[in-house]
Amino acid sequence: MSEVSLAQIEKDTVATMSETTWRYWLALGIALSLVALGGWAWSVALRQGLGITGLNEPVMWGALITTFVFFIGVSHSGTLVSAILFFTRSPLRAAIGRSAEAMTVFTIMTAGLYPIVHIGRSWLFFFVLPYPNQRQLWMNFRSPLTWDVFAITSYVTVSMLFLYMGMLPDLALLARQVKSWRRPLYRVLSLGFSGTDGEWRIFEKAYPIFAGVVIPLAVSVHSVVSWDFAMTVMPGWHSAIFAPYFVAGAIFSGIAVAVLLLSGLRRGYHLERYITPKHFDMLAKLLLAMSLVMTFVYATEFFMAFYRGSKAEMEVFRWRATGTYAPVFWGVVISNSVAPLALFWSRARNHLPTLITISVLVTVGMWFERFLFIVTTLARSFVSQNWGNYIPSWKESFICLGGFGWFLMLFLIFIKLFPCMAISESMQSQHAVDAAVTPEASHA
Amino acid sequence: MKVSRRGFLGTAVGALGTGALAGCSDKLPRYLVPHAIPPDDATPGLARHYRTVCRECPASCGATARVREGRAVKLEGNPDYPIGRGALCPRGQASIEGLYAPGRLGTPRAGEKEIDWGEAEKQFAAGLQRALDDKKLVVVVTRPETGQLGKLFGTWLEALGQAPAQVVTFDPMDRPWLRQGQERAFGTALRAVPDLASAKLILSIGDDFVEEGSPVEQARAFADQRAAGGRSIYVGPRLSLTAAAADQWISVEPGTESIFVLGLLRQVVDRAGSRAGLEPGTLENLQRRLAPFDAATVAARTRIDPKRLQEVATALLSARPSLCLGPGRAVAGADAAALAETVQVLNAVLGNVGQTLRFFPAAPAQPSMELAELTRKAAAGDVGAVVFHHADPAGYGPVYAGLTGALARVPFIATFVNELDDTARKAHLVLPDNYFLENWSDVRTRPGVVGIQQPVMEPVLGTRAAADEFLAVARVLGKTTGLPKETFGEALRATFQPKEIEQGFRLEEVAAVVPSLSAGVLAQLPSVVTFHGPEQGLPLVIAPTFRHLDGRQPRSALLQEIPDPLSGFSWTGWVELNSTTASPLGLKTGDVLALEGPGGRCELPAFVTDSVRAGVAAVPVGDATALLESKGFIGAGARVTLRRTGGRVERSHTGVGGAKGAEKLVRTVEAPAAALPPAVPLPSMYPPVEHPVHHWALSIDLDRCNGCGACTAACYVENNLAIVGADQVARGRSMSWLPIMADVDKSHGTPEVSYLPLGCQHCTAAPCESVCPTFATYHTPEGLNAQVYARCIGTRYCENNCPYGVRRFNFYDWPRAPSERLGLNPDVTVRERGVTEKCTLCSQRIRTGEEQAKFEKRGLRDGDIVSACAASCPTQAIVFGDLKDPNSAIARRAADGRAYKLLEELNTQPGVFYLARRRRGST
Repeated sequence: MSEVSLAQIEKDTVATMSETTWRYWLALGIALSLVALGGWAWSVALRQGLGITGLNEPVMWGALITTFVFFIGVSHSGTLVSAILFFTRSPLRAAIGRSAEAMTVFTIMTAGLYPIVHIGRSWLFFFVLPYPNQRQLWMNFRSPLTWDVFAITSYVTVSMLFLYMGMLPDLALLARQVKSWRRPLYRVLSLGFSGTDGEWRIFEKAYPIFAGVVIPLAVSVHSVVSWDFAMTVMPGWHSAIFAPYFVAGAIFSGIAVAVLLLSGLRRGYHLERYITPKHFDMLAKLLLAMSLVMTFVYATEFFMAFYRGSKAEMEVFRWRATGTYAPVFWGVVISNSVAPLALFWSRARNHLPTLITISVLVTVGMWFERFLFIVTTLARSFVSQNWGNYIPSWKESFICLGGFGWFLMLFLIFIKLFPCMAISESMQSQHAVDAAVTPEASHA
Repeated sequence: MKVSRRGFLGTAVGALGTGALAGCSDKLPRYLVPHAIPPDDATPGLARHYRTVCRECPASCGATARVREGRAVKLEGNPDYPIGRGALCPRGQASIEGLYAPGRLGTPRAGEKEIDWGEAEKQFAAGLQRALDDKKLVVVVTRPETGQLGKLFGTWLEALGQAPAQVVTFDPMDRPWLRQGQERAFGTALRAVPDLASAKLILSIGDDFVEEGSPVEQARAFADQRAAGGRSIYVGPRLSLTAAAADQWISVEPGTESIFVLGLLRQVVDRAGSRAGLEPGTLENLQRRLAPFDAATVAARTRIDPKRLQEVATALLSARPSLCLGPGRAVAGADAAALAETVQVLNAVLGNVGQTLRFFPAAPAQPSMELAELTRKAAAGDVGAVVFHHADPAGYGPVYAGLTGALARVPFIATFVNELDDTARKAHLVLPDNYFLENWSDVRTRPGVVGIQQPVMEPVLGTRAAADEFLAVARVLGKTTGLPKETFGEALRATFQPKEIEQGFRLEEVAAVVPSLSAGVLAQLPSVVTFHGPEQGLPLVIAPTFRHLDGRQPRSALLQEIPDPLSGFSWTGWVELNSTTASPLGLKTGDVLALEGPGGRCELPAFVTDSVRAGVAAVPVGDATALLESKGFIGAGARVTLRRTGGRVERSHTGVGGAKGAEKLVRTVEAPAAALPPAVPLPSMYPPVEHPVHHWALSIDLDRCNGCGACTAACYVENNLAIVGADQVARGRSMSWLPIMADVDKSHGTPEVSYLPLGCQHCTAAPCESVCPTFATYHTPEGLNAQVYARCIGTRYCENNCPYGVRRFNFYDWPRAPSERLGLNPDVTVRERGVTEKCTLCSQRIRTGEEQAKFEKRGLRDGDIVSACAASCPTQAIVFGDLKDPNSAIARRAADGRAYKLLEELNTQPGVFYLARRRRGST
């Protein structure tokens, strides 16, 4: 990066905020249309009832919960990647950290909508919150859904603070650089950060705390979400492997989405200088590693079903692989376990279209993987007279697509309002590089 | 806008007038509580109970109506009445739905036009007067009216100057061949009352006594017989509810049931005829007549194992007294009377007459007219007026096509109905009768028993009692000789003591007779049923069902909603085909077939199963009418062709268990006395849950349950369950709290079907409770798994974590017609959309019982509180009670060796437990 001047970094970063291409408007248009479609579908559900979904008596959770788990999963990698890169002092962080953190915040904000959309009486969702009330009604602390509420709200709070905290120096910088209506906004948001030594000292002390807190939180959140399933008695859900399985799956899908977002940003804003093939190569290696973990987990699940000897559980797994959803199952195996194996070859890792294709496969595959384990267990539980099927209805699918639109919309608005790369960190790493080359430069 | 004083007053008066008119209309009442000033003896909030008789089918079981604020909200049985003994069938339960059905007529109609009662009486009188003036016949066609109303028709006709015999009893459910067979066997008209409970062995020749005749009392007697160690054999083409409850199902070549019975009779006569105490000559006569039916011939013609016949004969001879019944509708052909005679001979030779088969002298026959005679006379133009009374011959398609066609030549047709039917659409005058719960009447369906049907409430709509209209029109015509002066209800009431009305019946002494076989018995042997219709077709078997009886209209939405437990179909009929018949045709369950029979055609989905004999097509009786000929209503003998239409009908998920890889929910024990291995208590991390005072629970005896669905229907009515309609049921959104699951065991050759009512198990360590984030579901100190609707936000987490799959979710605000709302149980919340619900063990009944005991300053006694399902169960398979009371019936059941809990290995510790089904194996 040494050939990139500081001025260039700043210019490029500001350019992503101020220069708006037709591609941006197209993407935002698509995002808004999806949000409108999903919003309309949800409004129908609110007016008529959840009968508009494909849910039925044995399968009470479906595409909406799948989308919830999916977004929670995606949220993971963001903060996790950013925090780990911070601790490893990786120069990569300056380029991708901010986007990854923003991705985390927005995916959780999206994920958090789905439990509300999916419950029968959305207007009473606050019953799960510990709010003071006259009848002294409290939530049930034994319920994993209550744990979810706490885990997710903690996670979203800390991730937001982590994102915001990291942005403070940049906001202060921008407040000086930019004009127009943005200036007062950044001035207020920068909380008076002026870049003094004292401020930097405090900042450098505080930031690692957030980075340190966010890693166990990320692990815990997805573990808690997994317990929504693992704490039940249902065959195929009631399994101790679920927490690590979900965390691994979350990182896996998170990396895939990160690849897609970064490649999009890179192309859209010509950030080839900052997001280099080396970055993609490293992400690809991580993706491969997680894919191997996932394959191991899938195999373990089947083995455990066989080893435990529970009739109902064996039936769930037998049916998952051979029943109505067998095409989905084998599709998932191909996308999550087989396709990423290509990344063993460095040529595949360094060939961006291949990596993007695999990432798309993994992203879609992980959605269906969650769909599969949610639905097959419910459709095939203990009472064979109740066995059933589930196919999401159109309106239900629209609500799911609406979530993707919502996430994309938030992200697109974010990159127009805030620097999508850490300017100050880029500068720091630039300084470090320069210092390594010419010791005097660091004092300049 | 400027309003003048005059204009304002005009508008106000107009509005007032409209309001007053609305108040007078005989549409729905406007007030939630019908009495502005309640009668002295009625307290708002407290239920009153009235004994009456259920008139949903000719069996006429005793009933008790629960009335709240002047409206009947639930029907129970009458525990003191010999017919029903406190239980009701699903049809009886659904009568509340019929009472408040949106389709009920409240206003008389002349053609399409609604008229008032004064005008209706005028037109009625005019129509009759015309017939009288033309010197033509006036005929009354009525459903079976065994009491004083039946007599009134004769008196009324007489007063009109007609012959009292011009009354036609229209009863498609009637099985005349049984009476004719008795008469042929014993030489005199008799009323038979079988005593199933004391028979050591019941042999049913296609007689589906759990479904037909008097199903509630027969099902109870049959269950008691089984519990006492009795055995049962069913011979018929189809594994009906009766056959499934029996120990052994034998299916012979369709139509050759008579050969089987003759072969059996020969075996019995050969081995024990000399000891049967027959009249001299009768034995020789029998031996001569039965000579051709040796075991080998019979086995060859009926296509069964020759040893089977001997086994059955041995069983019959060794189990005395036994009871032979039939032939039932499923096997009755044109020659059914001769087969019925043979069955009675079998009974006589086995010494069952006077033991398990009691006979009473037949009631003196009311002068009456045969349907065929009416058809003939109507066609000849001799009939000037026909008054139908709850009779709808036009509704049976080709079966009564002769009469329906001849009605075109009748100048005046009036009909008394509750809802519009096909005959009413042809009638000149439609008169809405009160529902049976709003009417006085009496029934004499059993020698020595008079059931009193008293009104339990004011009519919901502007209907009037049919009997009073008969009297009114006679008054208009000025012909009142012999007719009561007051209303029919008052006249009827005067014939009973107040105490009799209170208990709902009167018993009379009737001496039983023990008839002996007539000398010339079996003069004509029953012939094999010949099937006619399309050559290449399959023999059509009619499957009796009490849900829709003979398929009469209107069909109850509730009974259509509850799926058939074995086929899983709801809101439609079906055609049962054996898998060996269906698979060469590539048919799967749900494929719609076009059936063509001698009478016509219809379309029904296929049900591919092993529970019907190969090579036949079985159709529930109500759906088969379109296929039958006009020869007679029912009986084997038609042949149908099947053609696939390409359509599909999806079933609800409530399907059949026994699939490969499925958990086995129904457990069986082999010998009658055998017990299950004791359950091993599982360790738990949680402290044991205490139930300090009561522990309400339910026990279900799978050996008694025959899958009739009375519990399911009772639960719908008691707990305001929503009827969601065909489309939503097919999507698996039925709201039933207590569906009945079928379990098919094919490991013993012939399929064995068990039925399992599966509602909330009220687990002590309930998986649903721990996962609910809002505490909407929790365990009460009395052992209930309670559901707080107000607190439920609809996460459906509880439903996902219920291993029994018994929780239901309100996907919509299910629609209810305004009239249906009047029939809701005011003690039970109507749940809004987005809320989860499930069995509450009738917590409202528990509260009422507890309050009643408190009010009477006493403790609760076993039997004070009964859940709706347990109250309605005809076989007493379901028992509700307090597990903490060591002397309660349920505590005794809990100590039974057959007691087990579902999916015990999950350690949910259900409060509901089951008693294993007893397998007695084959003979």
